[in-house]
Amino acid sequence: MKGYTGKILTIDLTTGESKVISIKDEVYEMILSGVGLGVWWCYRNIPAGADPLGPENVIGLTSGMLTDTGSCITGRWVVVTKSPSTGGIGEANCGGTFAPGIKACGFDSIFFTGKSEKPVYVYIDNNGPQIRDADHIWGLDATEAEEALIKECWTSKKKPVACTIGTAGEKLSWMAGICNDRGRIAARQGVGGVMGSKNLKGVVLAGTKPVTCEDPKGMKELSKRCAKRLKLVTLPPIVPAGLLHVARFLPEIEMGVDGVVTGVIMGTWGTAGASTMTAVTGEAPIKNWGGSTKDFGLLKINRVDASKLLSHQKHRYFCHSCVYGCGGECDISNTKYSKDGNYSISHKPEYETQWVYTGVLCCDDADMMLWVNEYLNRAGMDTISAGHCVAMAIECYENGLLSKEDFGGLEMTWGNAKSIMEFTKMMVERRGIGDAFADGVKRAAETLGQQTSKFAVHGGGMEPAMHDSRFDEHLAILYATDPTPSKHTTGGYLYYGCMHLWKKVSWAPRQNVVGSAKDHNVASEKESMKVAASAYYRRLVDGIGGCYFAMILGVETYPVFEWLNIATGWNKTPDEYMFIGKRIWTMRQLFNIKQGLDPWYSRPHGRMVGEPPLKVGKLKGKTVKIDDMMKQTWEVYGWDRETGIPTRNTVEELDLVRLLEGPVEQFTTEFSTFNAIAKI
Amino acid sequence: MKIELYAPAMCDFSRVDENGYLDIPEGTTFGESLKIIKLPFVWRKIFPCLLNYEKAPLSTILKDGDTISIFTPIAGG
Repeated sequence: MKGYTGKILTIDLTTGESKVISIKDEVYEMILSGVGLGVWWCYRNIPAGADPLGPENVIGLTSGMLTDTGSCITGRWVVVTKSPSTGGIGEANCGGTFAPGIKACGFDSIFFTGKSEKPVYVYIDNNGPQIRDADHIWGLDATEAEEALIKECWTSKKKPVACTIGTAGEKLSWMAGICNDRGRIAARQGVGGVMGSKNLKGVVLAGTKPVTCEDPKGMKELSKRCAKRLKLVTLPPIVPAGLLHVARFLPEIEMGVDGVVTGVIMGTWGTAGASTMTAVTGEAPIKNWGGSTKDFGLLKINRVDASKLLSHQKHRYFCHSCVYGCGGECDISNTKYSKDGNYSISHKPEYETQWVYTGVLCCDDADMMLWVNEYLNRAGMDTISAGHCVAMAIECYENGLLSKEDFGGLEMTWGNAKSIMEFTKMMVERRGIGDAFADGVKRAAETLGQQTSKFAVHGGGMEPAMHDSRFDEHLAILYATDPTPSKHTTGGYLYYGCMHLWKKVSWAPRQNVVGSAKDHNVASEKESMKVAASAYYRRLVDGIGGCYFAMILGVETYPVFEWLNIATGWNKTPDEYMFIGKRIWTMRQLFNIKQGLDPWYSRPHGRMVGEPPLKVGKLKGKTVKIDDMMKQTWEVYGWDRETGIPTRNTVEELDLVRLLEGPVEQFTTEFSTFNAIAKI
Repeated sequence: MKIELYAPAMCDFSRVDENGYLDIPEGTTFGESLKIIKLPFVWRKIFPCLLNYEKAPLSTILKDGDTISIFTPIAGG
């Protein structure tokens, strides 16, 4: 075994027909497992122009190539589908324990198509899948449904794992995600709405098949080295997160960073440790991307920072095979709003949730943010997108485009915690005007009228993450050119400095260490090469089931290339693997082209690129020359400079015509077909 | 000799070339190199400083090609 199982499972929820399909080794050698396999299958099986919420759409739950092989920090699962929010390729990934469950059932990925007549869940074990009635859990939140399913299906020694949708997914929200491990969520791109559209409430995995790789001993040795380096780096327990305000005083210079020592932030505070730094350096957007620390200053930041969250933390936790441990479980039973829902235990909020529900809404009520975090995790709704919708609603209200009556009597003002909470509920339940916002800001603007679009901050239908593209122009390019637009976990200027790809990849430019960061020309070929290197490498990391925070440990510490060779016995060079990353990256763009998207669709909203520039704050006067940068970077990807469509040369060089359009028999063999509708 | 250096932006990079290598005399110790780049004492006491990805005594004599990594605050999430 080469780390992958070589099989996928497909389930048609309309007919109940299920197929086990063998995938030939050549496919894995071309696109790995995980996201590569998922996009490939979706490209081949989703017809052009398919309704994302219709039965023709396919949704795949994929595990990583290295998941459960003995490698570390490779336990993430990726959902792949056609996204309702962008109309293009949809991807959302999540940690937790679900990914190894897919492989333990004997599959690399599980794909669903069709639509069940009534609510169902799918149970899979070593004997294959069963489609079971889910009437009794329809209407439960994602956490309640997961607990009910595990209790119902736990019949052997090993505890099953499950993923579920909440109310947002049931109501087909374009902001809905899919949850596992009590509210950890594959949140982006509306993947939960796709699952809801199929009447699929959950998937339970109870397989016990082992996963092995070509050289388990070598794998263990290499993983030990990675784990040892990370465990060395700790901080004294008394260090407050506010100390990170020091970042504001550091000069802006170009430099490489060792992600191993920087990783201490994740282990100590979790991702929320970022907020103190991002806010004061200008990296964190404030007041719906239109404000600065003049609107949400240090005192307010301190009221919602990571130290505040840590005061609720009971203990840290780790995803499958992780040695980082950025997650934490918090006791929120003594917070102001916990009685609304009777919440007691909650995941420590991620930075994205923490900031979008505080800085972006100018609200310094940490208890509100803790409540929203738990509420939306249970509802199964993306906090980044939901927070942007609230911000847009506030601006529409403050500018007289929507009235108090429109909001059912709510005063939608900046920092108004109670209104923010109630409006969030209205979106989840599609109640009143909440219905117009339940599918994201772009759709809301289309429904409410174009005057509102100036407050709808998005790129290609996706609300951006809490990293300002005016602060980091590499990020601006990636927001704009990623086939899943506005995605923040592909790279960025500082992150590239952490990856150290130039140490392994012959063409990856070195991040210089001296000189002003303001001096570099981002629209240059060299900078575009860095962006391309991040983009291709990230696809490899997704392909192995890896984590973004591990990726920035650097290639010396997080040995993706070496692990892949040890797992598979392929003996490929880093350059050859990066070519695979380029193939996956381009395949995603071809998916979008097939679905009729013009690549310019993902050009970011004006506020994201300083059109017009801010008048105050760290980013005062900054405008990103996004059009020039998009063209330059498309060219480096091997896509047409003017249209963003991959060139014929690129497509042929990557052998994508054969892979995507050639006879399926070249790549697969049907293993078995049977009816999966449960006879119970 | 050349030492690969990853250090926060407030340090003195005047002896660091554009590829990130610190030029120091033979026999320099780990602790002396931190003084050369003017790393604030408080920073060294609070945040991690590693030599070749491991904790090391400040008296360790550096060798050509060693790697020094010092905590740098960057954000993600």
